[in-house]
Amino acid sequence: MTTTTDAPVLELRDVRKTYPGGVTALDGVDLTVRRGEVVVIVGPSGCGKSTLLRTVNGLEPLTGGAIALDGSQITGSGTRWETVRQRVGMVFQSYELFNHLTVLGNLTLAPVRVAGTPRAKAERRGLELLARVGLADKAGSYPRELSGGQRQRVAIVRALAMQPEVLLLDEITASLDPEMVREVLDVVVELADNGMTMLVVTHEMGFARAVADRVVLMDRGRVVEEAEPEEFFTNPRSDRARAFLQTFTYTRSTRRAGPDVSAEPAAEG
Amino acid sequence: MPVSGLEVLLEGRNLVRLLEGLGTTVGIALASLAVALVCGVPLGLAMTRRGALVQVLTRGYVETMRIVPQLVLLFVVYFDLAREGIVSLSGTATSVLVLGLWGAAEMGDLVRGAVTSIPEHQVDSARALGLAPGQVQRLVVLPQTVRRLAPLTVNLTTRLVKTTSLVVLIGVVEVLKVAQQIIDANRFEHPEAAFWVYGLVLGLYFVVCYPVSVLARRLETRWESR
Amino acid sequence: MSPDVLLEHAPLFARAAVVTVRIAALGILGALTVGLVCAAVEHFRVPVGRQAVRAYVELARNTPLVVQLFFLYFALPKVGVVWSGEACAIIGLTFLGGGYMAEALRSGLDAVDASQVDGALSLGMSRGAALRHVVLPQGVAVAVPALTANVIFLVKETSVVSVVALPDLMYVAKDIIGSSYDTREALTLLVVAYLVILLPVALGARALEGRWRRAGLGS
Ligand SMILES: Nc1ncnc2c1ncn2[C@@H]1O[C@H](COP(=O)(O)OP(=O)(O)O)[C@@H](O)[C@H]1O
Ligand SMILES: [Mg+2]
Repeated sequence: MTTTTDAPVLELRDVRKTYPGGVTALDGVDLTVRRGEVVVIVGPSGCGKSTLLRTVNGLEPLTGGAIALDGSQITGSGTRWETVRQRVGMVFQSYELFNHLTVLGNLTLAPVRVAGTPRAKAERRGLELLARVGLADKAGSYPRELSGGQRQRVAIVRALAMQPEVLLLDEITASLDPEMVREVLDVVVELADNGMTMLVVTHEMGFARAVADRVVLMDRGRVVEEAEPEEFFTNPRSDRARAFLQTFTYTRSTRRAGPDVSAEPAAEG
Repeated sequence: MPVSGLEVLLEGRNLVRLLEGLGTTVGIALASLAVALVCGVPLGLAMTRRGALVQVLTRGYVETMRIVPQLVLLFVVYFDLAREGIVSLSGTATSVLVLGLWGAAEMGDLVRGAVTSIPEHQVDSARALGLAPGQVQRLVVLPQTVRRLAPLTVNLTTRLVKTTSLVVLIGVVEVLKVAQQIIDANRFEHPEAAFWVYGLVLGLYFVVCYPVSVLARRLETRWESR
Repeated sequence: MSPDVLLEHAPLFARAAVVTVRIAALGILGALTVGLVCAAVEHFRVPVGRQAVRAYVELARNTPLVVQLFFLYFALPKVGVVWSGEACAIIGLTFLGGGYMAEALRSGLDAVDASQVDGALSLGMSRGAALRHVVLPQGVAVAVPALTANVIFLVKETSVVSVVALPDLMYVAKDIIGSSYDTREALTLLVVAYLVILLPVALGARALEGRWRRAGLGS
C-alpha cells in the first residue's frame, strides 16, 4: 500500500478460457494491476481464480481476449513464455519444490540454467533471500525435511530469485496447518510493504483485508465486485459479495434433538 | 517375407507335437506353481515373525534362491543330486522340484511384503471397534492381504512359465526341444523351416503369457483404485 | 570333492566369468538405452511410436530369453540376418531388458507430478530444461529400485547364453561335467563364480537405493 503508481503492469482484457472438456472457467475477465499494487482475488471454489493466474503465466492458453505486460501484449502465437515467466513469478498451493534438490539447489536452478547467473553469485543471492525469510540454516536441507510453512517460504523466495516484476500467489496457505499460516503470510506482507506487485488468490479474509490495495470478487468466471478492502469487507455493494462473506462466519443452521445413532452392537462372532 | 519352409508346420503331426510340447511346459509351470504356493505362503508368514532364528533361516533361504540363476539351480540338482544317485529324479521331476522351490522363495517374499504392507492403524482401528484378534485377522487383514497378493501371484505365474523354458537345457522334451527335433528332421529338405518353427514357439509363449500379464495388471489397477 | 580338482578348473571358470560379465554389462547398457528411449516415447504419448513401443515391451516381457536367442541365432539367418553368438547374446539381452527397463523408467517418469513441470515452467525454464533438470532426475530416482532389480535379473538371465555357443560359465560347467567325473567340483565352481559376480552387484544395488532414498526422494 506504499508505492502504487499509475503505470499498469498487467492488463487483462475480456480474458476467456474454455477447457478442452467444455468447462468455461473464465468468461470475460477485465482486470488491471498497477505497479506496486497488491490485488487480492477471492471467490468460491471453482470460480476460475487458479485458471486466471495460470493464464497470466502462460500455463493455460487463452481461448479469447488478451493480456499485456508493461504495455506489450503477451498473449498470441509469437509469445516467448520463457522470457515472460522470468518477469512473472508464481507460487503454488502445493509448493512444487524440486524434491531432488536441496533448498539452495531449488533457489539457484533457474537463475543458473535460465538466466545464466554465475553459480557463486546465484548462491550468494539465494542465501540472502533465505536469510530474509528466516531459513538461512536450511540451505542444505532437502524439501522433505522441512515443515509445510518452511517449504512455502522456500517456494516464495525461489520465485523471487528470478527477480520478477510481478508475483502470482495461488492459495499459498491452503495446504498448511493453521499454526504455519502466519509465518508465510508475514513474508507476503513484507513483500507488499517493499513495493512488490502481486496478484494474490486467498481464502484468508483477514490477510486479504490487511495486504490488499484492492479486492476482486470472482464468481463463475467473471469479476462481480471490485473494491477497496475496507469497503469490501464492511460494506459490500453486491448481494453476491454479501453472500460470499457470509460463508466465512459459522452459524449453526438448525438445532436438532440429540444424535440418533445409538450404537446397537452388531452381532458378530 | 517369401521364405519357404512354412509347410513344415503343417506336415504330419508337427503342429500337434509342438502344442503337446507347450502342454509339457505349461504343466511343469503349473506343478511348480502349486509347490510354490504350498511352501511359499507358510514361508512368507514365517518371515513376518520376529524370532532371530526364524529370520536367519527364512531370509537365508529366500536370498540364496533368489540370487543364484535358476539355470544354475537346475544344473546343481539335476547333475549332482540326481546323477550321483542321492535321489533319482527325471528331468521333469527335477524341474518341478527346482522351479517349485525357487517359486516358493519368490512367493514367500511376496507374502511377507503383502502382510507387512497392511498399515498398523488398520489393525488398531479394527480393534478399537471391538473386534477380537481372530476377527481382526480374518475380516480386516486377510482380505487386504489377498487383494495385494493376487496380482503379484498371477505375475509370478508368467515368470514361472517363462522360466520353465530353461528345462530344455537339462534334457526335458518340451516345446523348444520338439521345435529343434522338427527342424533337425527337415534340415535338408527345408532348411528355412527354423524361421517359422522358432517364430511359432516365440508366438506360443506370448499367447500363453500375455493374457496372464493383462490379468495381473487388471487386478492391480482394480484394487488399487478402491 | 578334491581341492586339487577345484584349483585345476578354476582358471577356466575365471576366463568364462569374463565372458559372462562382458555380455551382461553390454546387454544391460543396451537395455538401459532402449528402455530410456521407449519410456520417453510412452511418457510423452508420441503418436504411433507409443503403440509400437507398447507392442515391443509386451513382446519382450512375455517371451523367455532362451526362445528369443534361438530366434535371433537360428531363425533370423534364414532370412539373411546373420550375427555372431556374442552379438546375438548382447542383442537378446538388450531386447529383453529394454522392455523391463522401459516399464521401470516409464512408471518412474509418470510418478513425477505434472505440476512439477508447472513449477519449472513458472521459473522461466523451457520444456526441455524442465524435463532434464526436474522430471528426469526425480523419475529416475523413483525408478531406482526397479532398475537395480532389473540389473540383477539380467545378470542372472545371462546364464542362458551358452545356447548360442558362447564360452560362458554354464558352457564351461557343462563341458567339464560331460567330459570328466568332476561334476561336483564343476558345479561348486559354477555357483561360486556366480556368487562372486552377483553378490557385489546386489550389495551395490542396495547401497545405491539407500543413497537415492537419503537424497530426499520417494516419500
Ligand atoms: N485442467 C482442467 N481441465 C478441465 N477443467 C478444469 C481444469 N482446471 C480447472 N478446471 C475447471 O475450471 C473451473 C475453474 O477452476 P479453477 O480455476 O481451478 O477454480 P478455483 O481456483 O477458483 O477454485 C472449475 O470448474 C474446474 O473444474
Ligand atoms: Mg484454485
